[in-house]
Amino acid sequence: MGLGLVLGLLGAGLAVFLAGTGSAIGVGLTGQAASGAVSEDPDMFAKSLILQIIPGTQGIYGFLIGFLTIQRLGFLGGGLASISVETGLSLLMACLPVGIVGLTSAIAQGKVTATGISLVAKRPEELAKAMIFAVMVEFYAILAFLVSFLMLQGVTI
Amino acid sequence: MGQEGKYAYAVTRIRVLETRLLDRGKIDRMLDARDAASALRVLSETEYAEVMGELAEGERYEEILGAELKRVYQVVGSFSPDPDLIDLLRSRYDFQNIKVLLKAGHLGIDRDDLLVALGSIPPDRLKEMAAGDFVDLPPAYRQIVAEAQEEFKSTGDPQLIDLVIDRGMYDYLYTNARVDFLRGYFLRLIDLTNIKTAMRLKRSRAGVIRWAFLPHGSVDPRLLLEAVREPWDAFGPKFAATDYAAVVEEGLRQLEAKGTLTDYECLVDEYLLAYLRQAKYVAFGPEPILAYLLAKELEGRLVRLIMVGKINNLPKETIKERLCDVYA
Repeated sequence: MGLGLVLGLLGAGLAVFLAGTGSAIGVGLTGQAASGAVSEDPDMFAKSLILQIIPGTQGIYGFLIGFLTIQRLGFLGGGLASISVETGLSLLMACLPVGIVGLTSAIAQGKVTATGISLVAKRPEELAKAMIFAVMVEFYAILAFLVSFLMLQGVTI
Repeated sequence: MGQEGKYAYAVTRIRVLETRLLDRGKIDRMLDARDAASALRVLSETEYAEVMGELAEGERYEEILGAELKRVYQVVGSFSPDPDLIDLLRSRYDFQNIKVLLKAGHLGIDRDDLLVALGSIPPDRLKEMAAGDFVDLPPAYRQIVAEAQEEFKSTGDPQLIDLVIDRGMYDYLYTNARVDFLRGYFLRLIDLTNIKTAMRLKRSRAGVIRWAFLPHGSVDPRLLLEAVREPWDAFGPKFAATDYAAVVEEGLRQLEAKGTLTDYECLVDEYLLAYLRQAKYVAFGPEPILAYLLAKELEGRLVRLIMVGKINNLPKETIKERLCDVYA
C-alpha cells in the first residue's frame, strides 16, 4: 500500500470525522434545548425532533464523501487501486470542503435549531420559520458537499 | 460550546415557563371579576392552580402568592446553571426576614406572620439565629446586621434598622451580581429608589440623614441632596440628563395631581420591566432565567394589587390605574 493510498484514506477519514463531529455537537446542543422544552411541555417532542435532526445532515454529507472516496480507492472489493502521491493528495483535498465546512456549519446550525426550539416553545405555530432559519445555514454545507463531490469525480484514478 | 452547552436546556425550559406567565387577557379578566372569589377563580385557571388547592378563599391570596413564588424558585433553582445567582435573589428575602426579626426583637413582640419562606435561610433557622444574637449568620450578612444593631443601640430609632439593612443589602446585591445584566438591574433599582427617597424626603420636609441614599447608584448623591434642598420646580430638571428623565417627570406630575408616590412606583416597575425584556433576545445565558424570576415577582405584585382592590370593593378603573404592564 503506497503513500498515495494512505493520503486518500486520510481524506476519507477527515470528511467523516470533521463533519460527524460538527453534527454530533449540533444535534447534542439541540437535544439539550429539546429536553428543556419537553420537560415542561411533553407535546413539544415531535416539533423538537424535527429541529434536532437538521444539524445531523452535515454528518451524512461527510459520510457520503468518505464512502465514495473509499470506494474509489478500491477498498470495497475489486482490489486496491495503485495511485500516485499526487492523486492521493488530490483525493485528500477533495474531502476537505465537506469536512471543514461540515464541522463549522453543523455547530452554527445547532445553535440556530436550539434557539429555534425556544421559538417554537413560545409560538408553536412558527415551526416552519424556525426551520427556515436553520436551512439558511444548511445552504453552505450543501455547497461544500457539492464541491467535494465534483472534485472527487474530477480525480482520475 | 461553553456558554451554549451550559444554558441550552435551562433557557429553553424558561421559554416554556414564560408562556405560563399571566398575560394581559388574564389580568383584565381578574379586573372584570365581580368579587375577590371570582378573581381567584380566574387565577385558578393558570399555573397558580398547582399551589391553590385548599387556599381558594379571597382573603388567602397572600398565602397563594407566597406558595407560588416558593414553587417557582424551587423549580428554577433545580435546573439553573447558576445557583449562586438564584441564591443572590433569594438573599433579598433573608434581609427582609432579618429586618422583621430585629425589629420584633427590639420591640419584644412576635411577628412570625411577617416572615417569608423564600430566602436562602429557612425562617425557622433564622429565628434560632436571632435567639443567639445572629452570631451564626454568614459573615457577609453578619456584618450588616451588626452595623444595624449598633446604630439602633446608639439612637434607639427602629427606623434606622430598615435603612442600614437596606443599604447593606443593596451593597451586597450589587457587589455579588457577577452578571452584567443583573448588576444593571440592581443599579437601576438603586437609582430609582434613591430618587424616590429624595421625593419622599422633600415631601415630608424631614432632615436628610446620612443613611438615606443607597450606595453604588449612578446618580450622584450630591445631585440628590440638591434636589431635596431646592424647590420642587428644580427637582425634575436635575435628572433631565439621566436615563430616568421620563420616569421622574411623569412621577412628579402624578405626585402633584394625586399626592401619592404610587404612580411613581408603578412607573419604576414598568421601567424595570422594559429593562428585563432585553433578556428575550438572549439565546444562551443567565439573563432569561433571572428576568423570568424577577418578572414572576412583579406578576405577584399585580395580583396582590388586584386582590386588595377586589376585597375592598374598589371600582375596576381605580385598580387598573395602579397596575403596570406584564412581562409576557
